[in-house]
Amino acid sequence: MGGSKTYSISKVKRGGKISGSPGNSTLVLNAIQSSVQNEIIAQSLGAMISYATQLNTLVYALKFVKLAYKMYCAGEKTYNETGDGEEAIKAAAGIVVQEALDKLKGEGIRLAVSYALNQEDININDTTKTIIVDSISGAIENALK
Amino acid sequence: MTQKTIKDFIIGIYSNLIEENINSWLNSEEALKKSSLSLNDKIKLKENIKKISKDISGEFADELIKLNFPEKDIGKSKTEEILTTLIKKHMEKLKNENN
Repeated sequence: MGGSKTYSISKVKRGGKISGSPGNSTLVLNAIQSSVQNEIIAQSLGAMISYATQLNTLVYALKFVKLAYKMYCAGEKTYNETGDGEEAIKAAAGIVVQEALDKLKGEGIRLAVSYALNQEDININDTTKTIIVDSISGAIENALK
Repeated sequence: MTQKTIKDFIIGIYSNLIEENINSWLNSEEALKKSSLSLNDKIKLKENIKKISKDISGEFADELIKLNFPEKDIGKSKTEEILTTLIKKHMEKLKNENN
């Protein structure tokens, strides 16, 4: 009657009774916790190779790794010459698209990557596009920090 | 600014992509809600996802570099083959750890 009916690992750890020494119960529960986690991650990896859309995100992204690296190298070169982070970002974005130069710092890279992705005639959905643009832009921005 | 190599770049981009893919699957399946994990368990799960994404990305980078990437382009089917093999390997490893 009433009360929670779910039995999370932590709840069992706090209030559950397992025969044997307390040390043993902790070991058993840690093993259960670890195997639940492994099972969840294994299932998600299985889904990743079963669904074409998910795997395609990873496959298509490789086309842009090279571009991202070129953008980073241009940004790094400019930074070494000028010591100016803003200029470095502009140089990186400038590798792809001139219009990006006028945009704000973070937006510049994002726009440039997004532009490059749209130039490729790849049939991918918007979510996949967003994931690729976010990941590549993030990597370039972090590298130029 | 620390100098980055192509390997850093592949890991930086792919660990994010793999993590996003796993998380979007978890959300769409509502697996976390169904399994009634506590907040601490969810945090631990996120850490594990981060780690496995980085491990797979690192091995992916090594494979690409062996094939002379970025000087040489890697085709779609080869990329798919490398990724599938690596993901399967890690999936089996996790399953075996459970047994």
